[in-house]
Formats: sequence, structure tokens, C-alpha cells
Amino acid sequence: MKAYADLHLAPSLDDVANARSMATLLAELHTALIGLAVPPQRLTPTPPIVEAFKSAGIDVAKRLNLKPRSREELLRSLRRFRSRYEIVAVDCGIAPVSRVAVRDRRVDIVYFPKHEHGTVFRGNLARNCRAALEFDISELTSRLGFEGRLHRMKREIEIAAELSATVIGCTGASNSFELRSLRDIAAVLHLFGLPLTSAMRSVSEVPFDMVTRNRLRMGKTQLEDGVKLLRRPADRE
Amino acid sequence: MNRRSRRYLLIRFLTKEAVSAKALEQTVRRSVEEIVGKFGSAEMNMRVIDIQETDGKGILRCKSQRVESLRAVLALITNVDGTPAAAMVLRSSGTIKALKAGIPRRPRP
Repeated sequence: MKAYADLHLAPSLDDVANARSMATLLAELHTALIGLAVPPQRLTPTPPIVEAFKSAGIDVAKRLNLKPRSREELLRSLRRFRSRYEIVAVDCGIAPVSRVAVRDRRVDIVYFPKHEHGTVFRGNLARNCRAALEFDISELTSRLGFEGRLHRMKREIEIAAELSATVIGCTGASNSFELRSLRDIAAVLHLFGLPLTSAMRSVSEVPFDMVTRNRLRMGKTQLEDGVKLLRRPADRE
Repeated sequence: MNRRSRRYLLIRFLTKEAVSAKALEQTVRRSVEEIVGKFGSAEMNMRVIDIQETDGKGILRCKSQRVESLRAVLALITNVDGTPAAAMVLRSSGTIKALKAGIPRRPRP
């Protein structure tokens, strides 16, 4: 059975009962990895809900959601927090921020908010995009104005498909009722114009690769992309 | 005559309060019409085979070419009769027997 990854979950960090019910459902839906949104001030000690997910056999990656108001603020936050998180996602509601975020290799995920006026994922951004574009189904299911947001999401996915930008699908759920099967999210992406193979990859291989790569980077042995420390001079016999 | 190719989906409804099987069925039908329209609905040829009120599980059938659309429609369900709800596909199969028995899939070559 294929395993899926949901890189955006935002439950209350203290509500263990809610986390347990989410974990049970996620395990039933073959979700093997989740990205848990944890603000920097709650990073240590590890939030109690992490254990609830781990006991259900789900791997937990810590995710930082950045919403910078300027380019400088984004760069400062990346310098400060990048090494402490497995996933860094940036809200691209402001044009100068989005231009930097899509290009910076320290950013894993970019997200364009649909509920407020701001930047949209256009061709010029998609061409330079190193990060993955996030498709969050909670944007479609949790607020009013369904048609407008559906139109913007469809347009973004079409651009991403046309320019081969990486897309990832996730739920953005904070409770069990907002959870969806990742395979169903791939079906929504396919309905929006992404080829089925890319849609399937966006909820399985792409997020798994992203977290594996970042965990390697966070380890002391990975110096640079493609450069790994095998041993130090002192270790020589 | 060619045999029609169909797909069966084992789905699970998650609702905050208890709702009737009829309400769940109506929600699915309404959602199909809202998202893919009457024309898409006719092409999909969706049928509700069974819905259990006790555990919220059910079986739907549709044309195999439209199974992705049905999955997408189910993912966009947010409430049943005003009660917060979610619908998710647990498993899909070409036969009801395999779906009910939980027969493991053949590994892909």
C-alpha cells in the first residue's frame, strides 16, 4: 500500500485528545508522515501531541509557517530558524516577499493566500520557483466564497503544471473534520489540471523527499547539497 | 457487448452529530451535482450501494473513468445537514467482494 504525507497540520499543541483522534484517522488513511506547525517559542520542550502521533506510527516533521512583512524580515527569519525546522513554509501575501521566497533554496514551501488580496502565483514566479507550491484543501473547505477561491487555485495549478513547478497537496487540518484522504487531494489536483502521476507524487514522493533531504541537511554530516562529511582528519587511523 | 467498467469506493463519513443514511446519500448526490454539474453527474453514473449509519461507512459505485472526479467531490464535502462532516475514501476496488473482504491488492509490476 502506498504511504502518503501531509505536510501541513495545525492542531492545538496542547489538545492531546484531538491529536489522538486525528492520529487514528490518519493511520487509517495510510498517512506515514505529517508536518506539524510549531511556532519557535513552542519548539522546546517537544509539544505533548507529538507523542500521540508517533504512537500511532506516524512520523512527525516540525514545520515553521513564516508570514514576513518584508524581504528583510524573511531573510532574518530564515537565518535564525532554518536549521531548527524540517520544513519551512512562507506565506507569499506580499510581492517582494514572494519574489525572494520562490528563489531562496532555504524555503521549502511557498503558499499564496486566497482569502486576501495580494500576490498570485504567476508565470514569472513559477519560472524561478525552487520551492514547492502548496495546495491547501482547507482553503476550499473552511471559508465562504468557494467559487472565487476555486478559480484562483485552478489557475495556480494550471500555471504550475504548465511550467513544471513542484506542487504539494495537504489538508491544513486542525481537527478530524478538516482531515481528508491524501489520495482524494491528489484527485482534486488532477481535476484542476495536474497530470495524475504528478498529483500522486505531490502527496507522496515529493513531501517524503523534502523531509528526508532536510533531515540530512540538519545532520552534522551533510555539508552542502551533494557534499557529505565521511570522516574528520582526527578519525583517521 | 462490452462489459461496463466500474469502480467501487469504500468511504467513511465523519460527522459531529449522528445523521441518517438518507441525509448522507443526499449530501453526496448534491455535492456531485454542485461540483461536476448535471452533465458530469450523468457521465459519472454514481450509485450509492450501501451506507451504514452505525459506523458511517458506505460503498459508492461509479464509472471507472470518473473515479478521480468522485474522489474530488467527496473531498470537498464539508457538512451534512448543517453538521460539520468529512468524507474520505478508505479503499477502491473493481469488485464489491474485494472491497468488503479487504483482499490485499496485487503488487504492481
